[in-house]
Amino acid sequence: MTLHQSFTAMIEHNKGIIYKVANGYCQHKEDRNDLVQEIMVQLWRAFDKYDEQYQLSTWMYRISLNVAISFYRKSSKLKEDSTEINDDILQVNEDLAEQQQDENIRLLYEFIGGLNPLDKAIIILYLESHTHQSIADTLGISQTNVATKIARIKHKLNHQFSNKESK
Amino acid sequence: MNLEQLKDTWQGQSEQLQNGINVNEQKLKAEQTKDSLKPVMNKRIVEAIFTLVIVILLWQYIVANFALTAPVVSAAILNVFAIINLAGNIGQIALIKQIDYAKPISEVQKQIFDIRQHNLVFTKLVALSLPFYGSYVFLGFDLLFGVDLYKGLDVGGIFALVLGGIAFLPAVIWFNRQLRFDNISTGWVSKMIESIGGQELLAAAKVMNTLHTNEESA
Repeated sequence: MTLHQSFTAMIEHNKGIIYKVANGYCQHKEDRNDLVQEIMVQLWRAFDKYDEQYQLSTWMYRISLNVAISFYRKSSKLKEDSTEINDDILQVNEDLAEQQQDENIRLLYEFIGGLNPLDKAIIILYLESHTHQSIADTLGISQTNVATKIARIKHKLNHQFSNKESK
Repeated sequence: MNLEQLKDTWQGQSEQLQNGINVNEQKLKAEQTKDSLKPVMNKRIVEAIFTLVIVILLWQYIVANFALTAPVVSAAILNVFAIINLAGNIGQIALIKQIDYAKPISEVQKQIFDIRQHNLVFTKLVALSLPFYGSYVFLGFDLLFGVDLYKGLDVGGIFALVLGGIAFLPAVIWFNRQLRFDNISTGWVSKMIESIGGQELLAAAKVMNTLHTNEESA
């Protein structure tokens, strides 16, 4: 198996990670596509240096989140979501697009979208059931800090959801 | 609905995503070389070459006119600033090469911020050279008109020049101290950082601020 084939197999097996990170960080389709492309580039650049002491998914999350946090595109560059030829790297089929309209999933992404870039990283890893230690290692902050952050995010989320329910 | 319940909903997506997303392999292969850091790296290399040319030209001028005259001393002072700028450019090139997105987020984001604040650092360096504004004037007059302006100055003129330079100093120190990432809540600082380094620098400054606040509250 060539390096490129191994890489494609890895992407195929973990495409959900890239989708979730891109969706959590970008509201517009054009932005999401650009972010996915940038994540792929950096994953490819780092692929031959992959350190097996890390779990592959943890390594992918680290790179994807780092790219997503530093990803920046001027809003003037935004185009309408009307691309007729689907040439995205990750192509979402219609069934999934419908499933993603599920109220809770939609609200969750909406909530994540409102957080600051670092809190987005924390909550995505938390939702993926990463331990506090693993989140702290990925972010390079202390475990205590992670615990405090999660408690604050939980509080904020409960508040937002109860507001939605009362409307 | 609380976060624990949402965890199940979130993780329930995984199977849907595995079945509902196709990877466009051709596009994946085609896009693999489009690294967004490459244009930044190329820009820094061009800047470094340009600054190196200025350093060499200033050295040539100093060697060709070697004497304790105002234009030569001015060229030496400006050369110090040019060398600092060149070192900064070389540092940036090394930093871009070192970026490893697999490292912890706080470490990588600090490096990204350092890369994006290049123009800000350059502006601070130019501001630091302002108290030596006489150097620009003396060297400029010698290069453009072949005149050593200093020789034509009387004691009052020299006094005014030195006093002008000294007067700049506190303003420059204050200005440079204000332009910090942890001071972006100040309106004019935020606008200044944005106009010098663009919205991407402002975004990176906000990330740095959050990391800084995290460290302080830990």
